[in-house]
Amino acid sequence: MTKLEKQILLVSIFATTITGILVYLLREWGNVETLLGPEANPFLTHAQGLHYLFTPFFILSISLIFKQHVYEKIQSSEKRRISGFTMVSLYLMIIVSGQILLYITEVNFTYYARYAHLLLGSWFALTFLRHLVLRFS
Amino acid sequence: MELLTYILLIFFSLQVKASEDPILRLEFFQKHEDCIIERKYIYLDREIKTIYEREINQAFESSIIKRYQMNCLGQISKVYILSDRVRSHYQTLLIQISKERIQVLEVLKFSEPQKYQAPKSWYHKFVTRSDSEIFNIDAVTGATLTRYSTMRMAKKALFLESKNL
Repeated sequence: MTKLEKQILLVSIFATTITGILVYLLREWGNVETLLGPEANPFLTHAQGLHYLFTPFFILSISLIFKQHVYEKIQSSEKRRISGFTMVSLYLMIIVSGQILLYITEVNFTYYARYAHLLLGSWFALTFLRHLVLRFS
Repeated sequence: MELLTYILLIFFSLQVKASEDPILRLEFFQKHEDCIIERKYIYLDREIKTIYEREINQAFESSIIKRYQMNCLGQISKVYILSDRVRSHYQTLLIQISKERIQVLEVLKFSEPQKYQAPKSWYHKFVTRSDSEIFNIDAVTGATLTRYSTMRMAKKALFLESKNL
């Protein structure tokens, strides 16, 4: 993994996680009460826009390191292999749940997909932290 | 601290009483100047919410429903101001109900991008419909979530009307 690939990976995961959490917080607790009723937070659109902007970089960053890092480590028997393997599985599920959120219109299904996406994303971020800790330990 | 809270509460309640209800300045109410309009907000208790959730399989986001009673030359109708989330943003509708049928359905605010708003003629399809006839309304291309949201609100208003709250 080159230095540039590492930087792209770190920045994209950090930015996607932060903007994702921000979208969730603004959506669930950021409503503004107006004369006619509740209104979504005015910053929600910007937070969503940033999340959609960073997501392709996140997908790209994993794809960049796939051959020389992910695939190689899967074949080896290092301790970090478990967290890496978990991350790859979560990565795929995050992409699928994110796509479901964008395209599916069934109300109940999108409700569960939203929480699945949030849970998988948080799990991915925590596993990534563990992955880094294991690297330096 | 408590004293300050009481003073603020008295101050704000006086402010509300002194000023006219701004919702009554909406075009719809201005058109019915000759009618007697009374503000009759509903506070939904847990029991009503549970019944609604069981019957309709939806949740009420707010416990306070903005409702007005109109008496136009003896003809009584109720006007509901309801908001619902379409995808990320809300749309607000004005729904007038008389004899358990929708008489008027107007969009007051649509905060999602305009391309997702259904045409006016589609909203008009709700007029004269009762609770059981709402799901027969045609789908609308490119505004599926708007359709669901509109139906939810129409259903909510008709449900509240049927419970005679």
